[in-house]
Amino acid sequence: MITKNSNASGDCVIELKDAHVSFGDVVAVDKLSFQVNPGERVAILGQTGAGKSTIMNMLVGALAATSGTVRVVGLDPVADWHALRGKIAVAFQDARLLPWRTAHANVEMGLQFLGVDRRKRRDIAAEWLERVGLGHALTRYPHQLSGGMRQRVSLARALSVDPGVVLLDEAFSALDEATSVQLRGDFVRLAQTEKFTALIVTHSIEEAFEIADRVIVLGRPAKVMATYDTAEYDFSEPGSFETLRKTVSEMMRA
Amino acid sequence: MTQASVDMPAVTGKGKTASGAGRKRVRKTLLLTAASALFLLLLQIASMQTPDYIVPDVPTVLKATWEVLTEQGSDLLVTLGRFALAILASIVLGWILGLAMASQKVVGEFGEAVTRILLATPSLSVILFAVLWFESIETRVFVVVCFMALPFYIVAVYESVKTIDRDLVEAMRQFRPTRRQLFAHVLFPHTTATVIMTTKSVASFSLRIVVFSEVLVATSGIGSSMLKAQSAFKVDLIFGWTVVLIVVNFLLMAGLDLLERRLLRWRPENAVAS
Repeated sequence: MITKNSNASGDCVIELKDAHVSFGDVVAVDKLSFQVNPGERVAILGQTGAGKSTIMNMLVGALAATSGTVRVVGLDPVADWHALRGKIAVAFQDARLLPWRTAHANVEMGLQFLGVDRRKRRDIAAEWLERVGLGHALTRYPHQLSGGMRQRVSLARALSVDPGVVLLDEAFSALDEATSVQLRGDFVRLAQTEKFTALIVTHSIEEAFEIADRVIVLGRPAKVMATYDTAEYDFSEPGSFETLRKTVSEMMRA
Repeated sequence: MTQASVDMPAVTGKGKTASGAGRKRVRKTLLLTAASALFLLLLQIASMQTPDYIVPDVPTVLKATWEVLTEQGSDLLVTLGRFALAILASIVLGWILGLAMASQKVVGEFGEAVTRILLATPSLSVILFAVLWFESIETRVFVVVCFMALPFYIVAVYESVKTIDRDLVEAMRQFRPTRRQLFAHVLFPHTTATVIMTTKSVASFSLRIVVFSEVLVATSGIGSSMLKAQSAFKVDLIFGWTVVLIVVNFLLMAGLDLLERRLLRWRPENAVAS
């Protein structure tokens, strides 16, 4: 049985091995290989057009790699579509909440799809909204919530199904700086307490180094240009982050 | 988890906007009352210049309205029954066909072409075909109204599904739902708004089609009763039925407005109006 943060082979949670995607003559992902270990938070950092969305689509099973292998908890996201039910969840750039459902009912959605009984899913959804600081907004509709609140609901919806893997697709980039910083901090705390594995796709260097344990910098088309272990860096010294930012930025543009 | 002031709700002061909507409704009612009074005044003036068998005076019209309601109330119920049945059937069939069209591109394009022909067909032709092809009066009225209303529902549901936010569907697909779950929890609620809005547009028109059909094909109902009144030169009864039909139309619209506010309260404009 596959449990949270484990997989069929017992090794890494996410694995791309020579994953290649091309659309006709255009190469979007160029024989990309990386792994994400259980409980690890890895950021995929790249510019617009670097193939980040293509990588995300491969991981959620919306797109099959032209060649190479893609595995999430040891399963092929496309071929093992149903086996991955409830094991992977995504928070997108825009919250993508169902407008006719309240915040509470939106969080219930994933649990409802998974067949969790009504009373249990109501309790779980309410608990998650409480945990993301929206215990007071259960009955509000999406249009009655601010952008940050909607994103919290989206995060609660993703985490409520207790997935082993959480994917963030530019989840904080549409928010204002203050809300984004706050949500990033909240996400890291949740990842530490819930011990899920996270893959964060972003174009923000600050966001990547703030959230992730490891940052993978992509070139264009998507291929690994460099990998940074964020624990090895101390940004308390003035200017140290600026130097790194400049290096990474040049790498991304290459 | 703490919450900063940047996460304050986007909508505040709902009570203020709700009372604003209430004032708007009161204003609309007052304007409607004023327009009705103007019509009655014009009717009264016209009745003074013409014989009773052309334009009766207001008291006679009001008396006739009471008469048709108390003595021919069954005709009103028959018409409303026919209308309700045909509209409900159109909603259900339109929903099914619209969704079926949206499920396959080829089916959708072909269905669109068919509904275009249906929409272009004259009402009178449909009524005459119904008389020729069906023996039962109820079937004739039902077919005519469905034929008129159904294409609107089909097109509305089809267009609604076509324009659904794909990102929303993608967000739901992360949980890997079955097709049935996706239909029940995403497509069905999404198209509900469209169906209600279509009913608001089609209901009044369909009621008129029911009455019109009754004039030509039925022996009961408001249309038939108006035809009998016309044959007997009872103009006051025709005015009486006209008043009843206008009131029924207003009640119908008010009922649909209420339904819209209740079922679509999640929409920003309805949230502030409720």
